[in-house]
This record gives sequence, structure tokens and C-alpha cells, in this order.
Amino acid sequence: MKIVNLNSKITKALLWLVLLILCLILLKSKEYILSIFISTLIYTGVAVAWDIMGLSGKISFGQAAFFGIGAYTSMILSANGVNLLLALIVGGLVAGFFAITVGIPFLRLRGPYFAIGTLGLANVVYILALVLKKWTRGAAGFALPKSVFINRSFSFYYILILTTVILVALIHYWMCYTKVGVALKAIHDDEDAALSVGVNTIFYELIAFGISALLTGILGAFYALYITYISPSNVFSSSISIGAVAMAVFGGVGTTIGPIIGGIFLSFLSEILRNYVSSNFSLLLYGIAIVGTMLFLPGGLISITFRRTSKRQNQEGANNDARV
Amino acid sequence: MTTAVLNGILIGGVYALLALGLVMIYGVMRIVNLSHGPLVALAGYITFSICSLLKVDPLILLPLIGVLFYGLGILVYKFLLKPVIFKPRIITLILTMGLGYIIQSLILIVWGADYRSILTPYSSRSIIVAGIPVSFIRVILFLLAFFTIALMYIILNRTKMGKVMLACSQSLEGAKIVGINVDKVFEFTNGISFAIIGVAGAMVAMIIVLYPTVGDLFTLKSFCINVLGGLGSVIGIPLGGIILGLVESISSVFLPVMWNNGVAFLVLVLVLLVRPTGIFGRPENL
Repeated sequence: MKIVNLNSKITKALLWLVLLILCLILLKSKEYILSIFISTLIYTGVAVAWDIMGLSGKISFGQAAFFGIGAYTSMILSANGVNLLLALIVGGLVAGFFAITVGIPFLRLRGPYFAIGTLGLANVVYILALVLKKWTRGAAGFALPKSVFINRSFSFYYILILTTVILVALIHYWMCYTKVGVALKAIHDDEDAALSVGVNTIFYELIAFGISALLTGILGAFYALYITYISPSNVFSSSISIGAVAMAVFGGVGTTIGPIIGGIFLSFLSEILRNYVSSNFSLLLYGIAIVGTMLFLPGGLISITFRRTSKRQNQEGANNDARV
Repeated sequence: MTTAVLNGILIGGVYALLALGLVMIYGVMRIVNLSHGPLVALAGYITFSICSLLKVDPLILLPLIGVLFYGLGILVYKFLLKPVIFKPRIITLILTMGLGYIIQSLILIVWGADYRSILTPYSSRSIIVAGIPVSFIRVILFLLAFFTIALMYIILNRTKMGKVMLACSQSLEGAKIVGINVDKVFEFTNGISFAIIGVAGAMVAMIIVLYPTVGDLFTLKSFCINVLGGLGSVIGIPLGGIILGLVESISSVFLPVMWNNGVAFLVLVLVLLVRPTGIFGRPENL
């Protein structure tokens, strides 16, 4: 897996194509289609945000924690009359702050430990949401009170989420090219080597973790205000975390376009499955997407456009046997 | 209180067996099997179904489950693990995670989201051991787990295959040089680890209530035990298992029920932060 050089013509073309399609969808205006795409965009956004952390090679399985924190924060704020936009941003900020706090001990972990750790973290946050009934209304869920409910059109939400996701993608793209991105790539390749040349790994990882959480939190906040009802099993659901990983992996980890195409593809498929078969199948779909990708196309869908490198370059990972 | 302590130790034995499957795969093949938890759950659900349909005692099924999962292990190795075993670790990690999700979703599809539990005539009976009442079923399961772990140790240390497995865990290159057929070893290791996981899963199912996402919990606990005892070290596992069992039991006396599972997570995080190599772990295995 590598950070793709976005100067590749194909990738740029793809990005513009996707953008064009998404804008054209708006003109269609059929509410049902818009709502499918809004859901798709939310989860795609989470996938791109996840990938910001994925750049460092540390696979986090707890994305749902940030999503839910953002959702609940914005819900609580909105219920007290706070402006929509402000609630979104504050939701994200709280999630980001939480990530940085938790990240300081957590980011010392590597590979599988980090993965399991984030999994456990998401579980703990879920339990907390159930337990702290005074704020979160517990398992019954939190509905936006009618007094603050403003009726907005689907187009409004669509434009909002599209702008947000474009922002997330831009941040991801931008990060790849700054010092942070380079540091993350170094950490991805070999954390010890990076440390030995003086890269302050914790600092950069915290930045990535925090931004990833912040953006996921904003998306969670959007979800809350869009659906106007949230519950712990909804927003802290592991299928959000799993979906994000599946989408990014399927499309191509470490790239900007990867999670986007992966996200659109898988979200779409899972929506269709949910409507025609059963909602249980989307988890199966994610699992198969992950396993299939790892077996046949480890770089994700986007790796089809990569130039074929010699076999030797692909074997280099095998020699890093002592470390993940 | 002493009941809690004793019960904790007893279930620790079963937990240890659970974790053993995980550590063998890691020790020999250097694969972190994140589908561990869902596999345990699968074993539990299968046991539940067979027991309900055929009205047999689950204990009798244990060998059958073992054989079934051994076959599953061989299949999983041949088709899923072998292609990626020498690629970067991150790929196997994500792959086993994906496999775990597939298993979890299959459980959801086949058995639904309801809670299931296996009940036998002796499920809630308690006996007196040295003047302290303990759960009867836990005593039986502990003895079975103890027996199985002992069996594994004998296999590892006294049989040819076992010694070969240990050799691979120490140095894969060295094993290849002396002519060990690494592929066959991996196949067997995966098979027998899955078998252990299956048996342990069937055992745990007799004590715990089953629901589709219970797999996550088992992965967490097994990891916790591994880290406690030292990843890659087979000696530390029983110790780690018993410690976790104890901590869980004792904490359930003082804390509300919902925190029960969070305890395993807290222990894991604590150990990882304080002493990542565990009690018996070798530093280079981290």
C-alpha cells in the first residue's frame, strides 16, 4: 500500500468525474435518490477521514466512537437551540479533543494492539453512552425536540454533506503533501526508523488521529441533525467502523480517491442490499469486500491504475518480519 | 467473595484455553488472527443448534466440534491465509478482520439477533469444594480445559510435530534450512488452533449467553490474556487466563454488571501501557 502520487492523470480524471456526477445528482432532485446519496456521502466521508489515520499504517477500528460523540454533542447542543453549523463544528471539535486525549496513551501501541485497543475503546464509549442516561437519554435514544426542528429540504442537506465531504477529501489530499503526510508515510514504512531519524511520531500521529476524529465527528453531527434521531446502537454501531475500513481498503488505503470510490461503491451496494434483501447482509458485504481485496488486490480498486512495478518491490514487505 | 474468587479461577482455565488458540497461530505463523472472537462465537452457536436439535449433552459434542473446526482451520489456511502469509503484516491483519466480519454476519443471518443460551440439567447446580460453594459446571469445564491444555503441552514438547512447531516459532528461516516443510506445519498449526478455539467456544457457550456480536468480547479477552502472559509465550497463557478470570470475578462483586466486560479492556490497556511484553514475554516478539 502506498501513498499515491496524485499527479497521475487517471486519478485526477476520476476525481473530477466523481465530483461531476455528484453535482449532477443534485439536479435530479428526486428525494429518494438524494437520500441514498446523502447516506452514501456520510459514510464515504467517514472512510476518507479514517484514511487520514490509515496513512500512518495504524488501523483504527473505533471510528464509530468519534462518529457517535459528534452525533451526541451536536444533538445536545441543538436541543438547546444552538445554530446548526455551530453544532456541527463543535461536535467535531469535541470528538477531536477526545481523540487527542485518548491518543496520548493509545498511540504508543502498534499494529494489532492499536487495532484491538481502538475496538475496545469504541465498546467502552458505547457503554458510556448507555450508562450516562442524564445526558444521552440512554438506550431509548435522543430525538430532536419539535421546538427546535426546522424543516429543510433534501437538497439543502445534500449540498451541505457534499461540501463537507469535499472538504474532508481536500484536507486528506493536502495532508499527503505536507510535512505531516510525509511523516505519516515514514511511520507507515517503519516506525523505528522514523523515530531514529528524529521524527516526532507521537506528535504527527496525534495530529492525524485528531483530525480524523474531528472530521468523523462533524459527519456524525451531520447524521444526527439530518436524521433527527440517534441512539447508541445507531451511531456507535460497529458497522460504521467496519464500513469505514472496508470502504477505504476496498478502494485503496493511503490514497484520497480510494476511500471515495470504495465508499460510493460499497455504500451503494449495501443500500441496495438493505432494500431488497436484508440489512444483515451489508456486514457480510463489507467482510467479503475486505477479504476479497486482501487476497486479490491488496492495494484496493485504485491499484488497477498503478504502474506495474517489478516483483521485487512487492516482496519488500515480507522482510519486515519482526515488526508489523 | 470466596465463591467469586474460586469461580474466577475456574473460568480462567477456560479463558486460557481460548487464548491458547490465538497464541499458537501467532507464535508459529506470526499471524494475528482477528477472526478469533467470531470463531469462538460460531462454535458456541453451532453447539447450541446441535444441542437444541438433537437434545444431546453439549459435553459430548466437544470432540466433534474439535474435529469440525480442525477441518475448518485447514480450509481457512489453504484458501485464505496461505496466499497472504508472506506479505506485509497489515494485509493479514485486515484479512483476518474481514473474515471475522464474514463469520459474524453469517451468525446474524443464520441465527438472528436474539440471545441464545445453552441450558443443561446441571447448568445452575453448585457443589461444595473445600467448604465453598462453586458452580458445578465451571468445575467440569475447568477440568476439561486443564486436560486439553496439558494435552497441548505434551504435543508441543514430546511429539515430532510439536517440536517442529516450536522450531518454526523460534526461527522460520532456520526451520526451512533444516528441511522442515513449513507449509504442512502451518496447515497443522492452523487446524489444531482452530480445533482448540472451537472446543473452547463450545465450553464457554455453556456459561455465557450468546449474541451475534459476542465475538468482539472474546477477541478482546483473549488478547488481554495473551498480553498479560506475554504474546508468543505459551507458559504465560494459563497464568494470564486465571488472572483475568479472577479480576473479572472480583470486580463483578463491586461494580455494576455492565462494567464487567469493560474490565478486560481496562486490564489490556493497563498492561500494554505498563509492561507490553507481559509477564513471560520475550521482548522481540512484540
